[in-house]
Amino acid sequence: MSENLDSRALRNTDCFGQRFMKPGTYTYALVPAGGAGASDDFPYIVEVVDKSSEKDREMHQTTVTVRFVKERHGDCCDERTSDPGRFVPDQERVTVEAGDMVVWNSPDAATRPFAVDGQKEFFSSTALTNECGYTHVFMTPGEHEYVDAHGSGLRGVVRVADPKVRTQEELRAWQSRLGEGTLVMINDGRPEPAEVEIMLGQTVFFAIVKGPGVTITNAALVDKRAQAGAA
Amino acid sequence: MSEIVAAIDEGAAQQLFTTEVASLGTQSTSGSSSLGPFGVSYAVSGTLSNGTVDLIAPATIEIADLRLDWHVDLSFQLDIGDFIPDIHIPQICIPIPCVGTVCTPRIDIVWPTVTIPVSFGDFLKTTVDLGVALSLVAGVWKVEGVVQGVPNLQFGAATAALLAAIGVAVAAAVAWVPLIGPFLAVLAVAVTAAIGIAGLTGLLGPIITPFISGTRFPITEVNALFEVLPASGPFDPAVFVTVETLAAEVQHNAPEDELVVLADIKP
Repeated sequence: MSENLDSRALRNTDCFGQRFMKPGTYTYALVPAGGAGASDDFPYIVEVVDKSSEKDREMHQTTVTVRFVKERHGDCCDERTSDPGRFVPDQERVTVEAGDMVVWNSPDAATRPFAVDGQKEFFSSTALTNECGYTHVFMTPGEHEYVDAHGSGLRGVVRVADPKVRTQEELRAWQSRLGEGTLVMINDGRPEPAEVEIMLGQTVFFAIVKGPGVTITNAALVDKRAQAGAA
Repeated sequence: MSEIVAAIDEGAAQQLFTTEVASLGTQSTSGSSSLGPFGVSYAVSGTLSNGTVDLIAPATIEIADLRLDWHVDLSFQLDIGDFIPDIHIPQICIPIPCVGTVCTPRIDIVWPTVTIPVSFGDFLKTTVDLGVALSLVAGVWKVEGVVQGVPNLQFGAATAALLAAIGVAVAAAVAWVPLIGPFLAVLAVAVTAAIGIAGLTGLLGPIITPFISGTRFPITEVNALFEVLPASGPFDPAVFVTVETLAAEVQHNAPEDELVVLADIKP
């Protein structure tokens, strides 16, 4: 089984976070995985206002919950099967202060993979540029190599240990460790640390400080020829 | 007294039975039933073979060591959440240098319902008694041996093997489920324990027994309009008599037992 590690295709075990450093209006769309850049419609808004007078104020986080809904037509329940539906946030407009972070996640395992596609170039889960991040809960044991699907040469490894649970006590011990996270900082396409070891079910935070617009993608999901061409 | 009497001894009856049981071929059926706590759909086939004929006066034909090779394809739905606990990945907060603390939301892992396919085959041996059934159908008397009662089938080691096969099938069917790894062994054990030997015999008995119970083995046929003398010329036609009644019984005619067919006729 392949690990669904791909910042271009967000699932319930993933989060995409973007920090907004400058005041302004940032519009975005929630699109099916693979659909980024295909539309000029950016219906949702992140409004960034000046930082408050509180100088030492810490970064605040706003979490946007994404759901997939079927369109309804007419007065009642005439659901057109030809309509694939759309992704909607729980808040169509969020207002944050400069320097704050907005995090997107879908809690529903049945929601199909999606991407956050901002109108501004720096703001997209399909091209992580700066002051942003991607988190992923690793669901399969083994060694998972990740790369940048855009071919920047970014490469790292996450080794996921199988807890080999046999008893209720071991199960409880494993569950108690699910709250542990591991941080990987990525600066100019270089992950630090490049290799991490975690336990099954734990979360890795990929924090992009600055970069050319990369993805965090399971190497097994990336077309081998594309990788070779990029090299 | 009967006017026509025909008899076969055990040796002939054995030959006849061997031929007839082979001609039955493979029978199959499908349906739905219960497998322990699960609703299950099944397709089952059975082939009879072997069997030793023993004629026992006055009316019993015993078939010992009758073999039934059976094969069953099962399919049932397993809601994994019924057997292993839900997993909740708590909110995780991590401090990012020069940025601040970032938190993920709590994530609930919802276990899916999966289809478990199981394919298994084995054989069993049993001893059955045949009664003799007579019927007149479209001018032909049919003499058949019919399995009496419901044989008590012993599945023996097959049930343990089938339980093991179900455990393997469960492990294979859920292997794709994210995060299932730590629970795989526990899940397989829990599912097979829920089914148990009783669940298997409760399924196998009713769906396999019909391959034996009530099975009819043709013994012979007699035309109701029975030719006693063939035609010997254009002015000397064949002579027929009508078989009015037919009877069959096992008689002990020393030194052996015989299956005897008795016919009453009229011109």
